[in-house]
Amino acid sequence: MSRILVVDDDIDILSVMEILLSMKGFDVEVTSKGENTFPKIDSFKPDLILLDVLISGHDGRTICKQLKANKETKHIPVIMFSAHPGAAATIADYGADDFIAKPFDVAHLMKKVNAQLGIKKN
Amino acid sequence: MDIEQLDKEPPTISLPLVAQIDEQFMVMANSAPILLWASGSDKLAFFFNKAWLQYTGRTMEEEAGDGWYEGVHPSDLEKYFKVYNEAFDKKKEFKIEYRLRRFDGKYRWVLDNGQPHFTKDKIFAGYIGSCIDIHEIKELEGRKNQFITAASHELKTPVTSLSIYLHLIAEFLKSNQEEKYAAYAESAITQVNKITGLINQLLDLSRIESDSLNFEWSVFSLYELVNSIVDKIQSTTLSHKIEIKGKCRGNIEGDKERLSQAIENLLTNAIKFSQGHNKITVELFENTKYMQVSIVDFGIGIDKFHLPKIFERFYRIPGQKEETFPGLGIGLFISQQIIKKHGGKIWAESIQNKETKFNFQIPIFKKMSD
Repeated sequence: MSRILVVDDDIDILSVMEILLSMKGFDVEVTSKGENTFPKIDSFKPDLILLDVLISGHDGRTICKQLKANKETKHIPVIMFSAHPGAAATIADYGADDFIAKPFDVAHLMKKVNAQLGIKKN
Repeated sequence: MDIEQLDKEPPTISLPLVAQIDEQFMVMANSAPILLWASGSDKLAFFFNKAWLQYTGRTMEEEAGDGWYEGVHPSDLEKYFKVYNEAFDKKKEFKIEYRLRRFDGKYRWVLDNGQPHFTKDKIFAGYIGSCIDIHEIKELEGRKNQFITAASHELKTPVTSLSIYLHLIAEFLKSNQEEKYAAYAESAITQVNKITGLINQLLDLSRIESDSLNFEWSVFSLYELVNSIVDKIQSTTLSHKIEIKGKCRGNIEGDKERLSQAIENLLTNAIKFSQGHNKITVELFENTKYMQVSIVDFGIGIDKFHLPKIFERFYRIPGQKEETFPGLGIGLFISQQIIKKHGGKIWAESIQNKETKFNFQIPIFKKMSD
């Protein structure tokens, strides 16, 4: 079972993502605090990270850059998401693997999630 | 910066030449509360009224010639030259917004309107311009755009949760063979998607107004794009048959997503305003310079009085019948801005209760070697 970590400061998004991804057969952990990202990765060892661009007090892009600069975590695909579609243009510089604009529909999200996990499996 | 160059014939009124500015004109100009300036056929300014000199806190000698450029914000100067020089060459009216330094050293937004003036013998003699301070309006506009952006962002998060929950409910109902209730949940998802569309329209509007609408350019076939959009819209439309006539072989350079947005808007409008009819035609045409797409419906039509205004933001055609149609009145404004960004133009023709045709043209992409 693939493991997915979701990082977003919005509790409502976290709970619905947890339900959705669990129902789709993934092992899911969530955190609303940017500073918890690395400890969660250590303990949970996710195969994919869904990371919000703006997390209260943290810039998700900086977290992504740190992930990609760390040899322990750089192999983990990161999909960033944001309600600011303009953010899409800024994420490539931080090493993110994909971007999805809020609000997204489930089919679109699952397509991106499966693509990233598929790439990893290959 | 918002710039508009007006495509009007030069006025034929005669105004005094540089050397012939009479006392009456000076009294009138100096008593006016707005900022006035005049330039000669050499492009250089030779007159500023009292209100201008008080506003900038400078003397006529300091401002004359190209001295007044010192007061224009350095970031706005290049754009000013471009608009002024282009208008000057065509001897046309121009309008431009730029920041001008006030006597207290603060830059403030002004709207400058330049009118060409001619002698009695219709010899071009330069420009007379009038400026008004629009700083407060610009600030309010900025705050309004920030509010729309923040409000849209705040709306998007709950809409995301709502959409996912509805999806989960629909899946649960389907798996339990509750087809009727699953269809209700699907309808709710459709409505959420409409809300998303409206939020995105508001966001686009605020981006256009703050000149931050992003475009990602690529080269592609407009014909293929139109076909794929028609297929998409047709798959959700039972009331109308959308027929494509003609073909374009060349490519254009543009933003596929944005252009799709404009074409989809025109097609959904055509459907919306031709209820009770069953046909929409999409006509394609190209020549060596541009490709043209025309979307034709056979619905209620648009009165010729309203035709020039329909691309203005928030413009909604008044009338008992027209007001029954939903919409924010910004779709055509956004479409027009998208087409303009592609170097194209958009316009509409209509015969009421017979036919309405929305046309746009986009330049053909030519390789550097062509």
